[in-house]
Amino acid sequence: MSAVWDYLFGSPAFLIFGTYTLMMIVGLGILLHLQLGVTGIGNFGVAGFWGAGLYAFGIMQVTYDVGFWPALLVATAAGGVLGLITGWVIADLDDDGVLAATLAVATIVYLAIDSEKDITGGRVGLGTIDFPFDVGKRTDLAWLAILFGVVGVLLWYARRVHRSPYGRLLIATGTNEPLARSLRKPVKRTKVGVMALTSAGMGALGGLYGPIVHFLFPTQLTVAITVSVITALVLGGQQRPLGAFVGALLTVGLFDIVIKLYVPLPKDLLEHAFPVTKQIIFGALLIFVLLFRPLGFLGRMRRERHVKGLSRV
Amino acid sequence: MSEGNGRAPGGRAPGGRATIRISGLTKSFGDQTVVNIDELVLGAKPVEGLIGPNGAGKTTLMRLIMRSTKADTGTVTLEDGSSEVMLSKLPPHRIASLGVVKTNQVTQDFAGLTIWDSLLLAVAQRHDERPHRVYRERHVRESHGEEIRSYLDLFEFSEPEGFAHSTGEKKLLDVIRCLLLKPKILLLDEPTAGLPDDVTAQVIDMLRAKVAEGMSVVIVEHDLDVIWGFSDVVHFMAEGDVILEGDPAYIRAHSTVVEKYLGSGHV
Ligand SMILES: Nc1ncnc2c1ncn2[C@@H]1O[C@H](COP(=O)(O)OP(=O)(O)OP(=O)(O)O)[C@@H](O)[C@H]1O
Ligand SMILES: [Mg+2]
Repeated sequence: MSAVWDYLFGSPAFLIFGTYTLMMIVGLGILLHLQLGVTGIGNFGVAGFWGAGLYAFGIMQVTYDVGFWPALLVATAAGGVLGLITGWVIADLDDDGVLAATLAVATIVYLAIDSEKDITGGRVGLGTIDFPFDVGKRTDLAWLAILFGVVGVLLWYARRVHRSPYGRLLIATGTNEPLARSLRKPVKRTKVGVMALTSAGMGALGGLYGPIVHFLFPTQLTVAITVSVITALVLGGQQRPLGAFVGALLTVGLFDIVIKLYVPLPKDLLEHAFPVTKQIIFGALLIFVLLFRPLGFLGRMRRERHVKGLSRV
Repeated sequence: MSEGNGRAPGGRAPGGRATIRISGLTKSFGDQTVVNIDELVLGAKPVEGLIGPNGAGKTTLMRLIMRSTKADTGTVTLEDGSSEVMLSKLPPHRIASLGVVKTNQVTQDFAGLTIWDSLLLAVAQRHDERPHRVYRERHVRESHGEEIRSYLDLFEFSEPEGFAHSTGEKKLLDVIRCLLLKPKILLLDEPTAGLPDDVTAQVIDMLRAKVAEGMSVVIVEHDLDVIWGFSDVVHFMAEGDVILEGDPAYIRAHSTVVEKYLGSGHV
């Protein structure tokens, strides 16, 4: 029994860090699901909104010595305001324009953080950021539990959105803007609103990531984050609230947790060949899914199920 | 420009019916002028027909009113009781909120929304659709479920609790969605094209009932039997302008003009 325990949890630090990453990807993926899968906004700048929150949190805590809650609030606001502006810019663009503009936002955030050394520390880094509480050895486990809770709330919200008039408005906006407008729906405001709201969520997740890494570097906000989130969501099913969760288990969960920690690969291979092979496999998986199951493993949204209840109205 | 007897009276109609006044409205695509109307009032009578040959600019005129296409010049004003609103300055969703609503000639639908979804979307108010109102669905269904069901009971949908499948079903849905908005003036762009005769009759009956309750209709239709039987006034449009208007009998009396455009056998 204890052998099994050691085998599973023998390297708890790695396991916990892997799970943090998993939770971040799932959380961001649920928010991207609301943007892309529900409202049809292809946000290719997830790292930017998340990073804005992460650095806003870091700057508040380190430079201004602000407490945890106000810092988290600023992180959320940073993501939200960035989302608001981005939403306003992209509302009238076509799909390609949206991809380009959101990627540009992420690039601007990255460059700003990289160059404004006085505020962000640039490549020297910004730190240290600590957990807002200390319960000894269990602190990082407690933080993980909090992340689980946050992701749980996001999942709950996304599922509620699917069952609410708001979700219907988002779907209508995403699939036929002129028709939605002709039914009195303020399409632009709706898109700006959903971008602000979900980007605020991404900013908050960024803030919650701060204590995990302790030290912030611009390299933490590269497009790799965005790619992981998009891969997970598209693999799992972009139109389904659980899509990001399923996709993240199949990617980050399988590779960064299961294989990395439990498959006895030679250290050399693990450090050099593994990360590259992993990216290649992700890419191949993505192409495979897009070819044969474009809506991911979970498939299309199931509206009929929500409507069934109408017989009981 | 236009000649006629039973001209729609300018401005407000008796009984406070809302009217749409169009002035100096033009629209060109490339070097082709598609709409060029000096003065036109729509909605003075309960049911107004808008007829004319293919390419006359009927759809474009309606789209200009709704601002789903932007005009080159000119104004469109909604005159309702003592109030006047310049529609040509408003975004499309505001125009719909003011009670001017249009169905589509080319079938439009929301991929991914079921029939019920689509109708619930139409009835849901702005305050029902706020992001924090995630438990609002029941309220919307309870306040509008009966009304929606009464429409769905009128017609046979192959899968009433699923998606609209045929073009005909989508066309019907388009009309019902618009009626659920309780418009003051409903612009119908070939609402019954492609529908079987019995369903067409049902749709017209349904519209008549709404007209009796006070709604005004402007209808574009190639099936002239529908126009003659349904309209109080007919506007005849050709080459971007209304060249003849009057009651159906008057238009039919000018058979030479109509036949010049539509060919013989229509009047
Ligand atoms: N978006 C557009 N771009 C270019 N030309 C257009 C566009 N929309 C309409 N047209 C042209 O404008 C003219 C009028 O079109 P419109 O659809 O308003 O006619 P209509 O009277 O509704 O005809 P129909 O009875 O066939 O529906 C046509 O010659 C059409 O080709
Ligand atoms: Mg037309």
